[in-house]
Amino acid sequence: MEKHYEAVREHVVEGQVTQTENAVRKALDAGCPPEGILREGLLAGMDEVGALFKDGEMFVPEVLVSAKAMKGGMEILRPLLAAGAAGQSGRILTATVEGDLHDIGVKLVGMMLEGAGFEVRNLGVDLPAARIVEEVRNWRPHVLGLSAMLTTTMTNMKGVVESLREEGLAEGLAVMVGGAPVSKEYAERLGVHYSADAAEAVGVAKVLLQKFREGALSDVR
Amino acid sequence: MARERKKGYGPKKPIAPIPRYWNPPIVLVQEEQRRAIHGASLTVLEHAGMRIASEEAREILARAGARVEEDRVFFPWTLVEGALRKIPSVIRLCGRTPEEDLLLDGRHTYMNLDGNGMEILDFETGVRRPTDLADLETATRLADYLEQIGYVWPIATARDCPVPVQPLYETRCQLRNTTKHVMTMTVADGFCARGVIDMAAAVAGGREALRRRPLISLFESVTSPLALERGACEALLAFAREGLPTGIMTMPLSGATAPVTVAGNLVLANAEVLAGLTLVQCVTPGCPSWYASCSTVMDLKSGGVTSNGPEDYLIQAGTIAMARIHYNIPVMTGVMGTEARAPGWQSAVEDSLSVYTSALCGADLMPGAGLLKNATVLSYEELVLGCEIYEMVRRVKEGFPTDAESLAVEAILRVGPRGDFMTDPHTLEHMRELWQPEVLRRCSFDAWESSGRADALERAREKAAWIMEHHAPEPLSASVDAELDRILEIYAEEKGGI
Ligand code: B12
Repeated sequence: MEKHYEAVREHVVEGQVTQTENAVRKALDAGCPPEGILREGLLAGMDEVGALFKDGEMFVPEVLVSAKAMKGGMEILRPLLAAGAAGQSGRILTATVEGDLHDIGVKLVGMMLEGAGFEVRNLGVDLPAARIVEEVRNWRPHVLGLSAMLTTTMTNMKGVVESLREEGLAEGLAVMVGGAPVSKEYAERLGVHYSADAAEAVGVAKVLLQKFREGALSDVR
Repeated sequence: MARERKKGYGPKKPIAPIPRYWNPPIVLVQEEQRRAIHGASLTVLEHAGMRIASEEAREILARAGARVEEDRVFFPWTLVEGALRKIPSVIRLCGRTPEEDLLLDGRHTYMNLDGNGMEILDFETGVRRPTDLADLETATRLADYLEQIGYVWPIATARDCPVPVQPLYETRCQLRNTTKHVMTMTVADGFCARGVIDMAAAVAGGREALRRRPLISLFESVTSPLALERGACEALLAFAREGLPTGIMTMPLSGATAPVTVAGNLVLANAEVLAGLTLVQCVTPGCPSWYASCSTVMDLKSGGVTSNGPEDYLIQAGTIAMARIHYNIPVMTGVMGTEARAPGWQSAVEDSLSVYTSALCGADLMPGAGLLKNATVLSYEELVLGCEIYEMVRRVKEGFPTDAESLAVEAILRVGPRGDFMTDPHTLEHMRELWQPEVLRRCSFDAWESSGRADALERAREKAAWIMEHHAPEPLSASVDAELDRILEIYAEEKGGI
């Protein structure tokens, strides 16, 4: 079994998408449990990537290709994972708020989150609060990530958070915000979570999902 | 003549960059490379085209011969090259008075007050806090005084003003607090574009007067790769229709929104700017316009923007080579905008190298001085230090004369072997041509220690404080001033009376 996990790990670190998928299938065929492949293969591979990134051995584009490989493997595993384990790979919806066209940062955050095993959907840019709320209602993500790069649009985050509360969608949903003008203090004022960059965002999302699992935050599903 | 002891920094001086001894620009990108980039860009425009998110703009381009498919516009080579020929190679951006006009002729290099900071290192406390309209006013007054600043961008976001008309508050503030040319960079839709035109017309004395002496200009940014969004199109159309100076800016990030290679970044940026300029020239042939790029590179370790580094400087050199040498049109390249969080060694290196590269390669416009942390945090010290850097580079760019008097053969013969020049008449005659630092410090170790190790930063602070205390910009007439208020009110009314 370890041999199969190792192959998955290696392909993830090397950022080889098809090979990772093949290795995942092979591991399944060999009877490895999906949870094991996820933990010992995909996630362990991404942990290694994370460490190499921290050391400056790997660069952002390489991390993102590894994340793609991880995502490819994850897609095969997702239907097979037990409900509990699937929770570990929570759903995250991201969006850039109304009036704002900046999306490089939020895309980067999204890809990094995928690399950590989350299922991520990015709605795009310039999104009115109503659209975001509607998508939250339909898809029921665990976490909503909002991005704003302008001082003028950052205030639209408030509208989204308020609408979510009004519509009763705030229960069981964690909101995470980011972007150059956004600060920890601003996030606190909105009663939401903040991270300064993509790496931090992954850490925050993991903590939030952990809380969901422990029931500290109620999962709406 | 009795000599007066110098007190403070004296009255405001004219904008600095008068080219005295013309030196041709340094050419870092050769003819063959320029041709390759040009051809590649035209291929991109023909085959990938651009997303142009305004129906009106698409129609204009279609009428001119572009192929349109949904929101995509494909540009034939002939259309682009024809438009390029219509762009004036020399344009003038005007100040309130002709003395403060900027001549974009490929010889002058002007630096501006940068934009658009979100936070400021508070001058009193040093603490980082959000900017407001009062900060913009202070910064604009400093810029009005500083001779190294040729024109202004809104360096501080007026975060205390209502959002939909914030650019109008910013423009009003700058029109009031400097007589220098005002270039708007936060206007990102047709509504605000019309607002600032109305304001500038009020100052100029009407639309026609404004066209003759454009004391305001605008640029809009391409969303890389290959998109011109609706707000940007609308604002461009509003300015181009009035025949006012209209620039096309692009800021692709190598590795993120542009190819990672220097050449690839240049090809994409060039294609994007040419597409935008083609649109402007289709609206008003001969409209004064310029080629603008704040291209930079993605930091491989964080995904953020580098704003500086060898590739950034090569991109600047390439941009200027394409615009000024290959097409011979006015060009603006982003400089400074250090990644550093406080003025110091890093900011000095980054600010200097970028200004040196762009100025010597022949940029007409260089945004700009005064911001830290990738152009997001305002610091008055950083502004004054930036002016000192610019001044040194400007002196280099100015070159030196080689006439008989400057060759100084007579003086050399007079002094002879082992003499000295210290009291020679030639020295006394010309010594004041030497550049004198204003904030750099040249002193003994002892003097430095006994002054509490004060260096350039403290001196920059002193100068900023002095200007704040002593300089008041030339006010607008009471009637124009009131007119600006009235215009702002009308526009605010339209947005629901804020
Ligand atoms: C590239 C860019 C653009 C591009 C955007 C292209 C695109 N596809 O995104 C274009 C050219 C379109 C553009 C347009 C404009 N821009 Co702009 N732009 C930038 C620039 C140079 C870089 C931004 C960037 O992509 N950085 C790289 C990414 C990776 O970093 P990041 O976005 O900060 O994201 C990280 C964190 O913030 C965080 N994060 C971000 N989002 C999220 C979300 C979540 C959930 C989490 C957890 C974390 C998180 O994690 C990310 C990864 O580490 C910045 C300057 C700067 N120093 O940031 C200006 C800047 C943001 N823009 C600015 C301005 C003024 C504009 C314009 C109004 C005008 C203009 N003249 O161009 C228009 C507005 C258009 C609009 N309506 O939105 C100003 C903002 C000033 C202000 N007061 O708010 C800046 C600061 C430039 C400046 N100094 O003037 N811009």
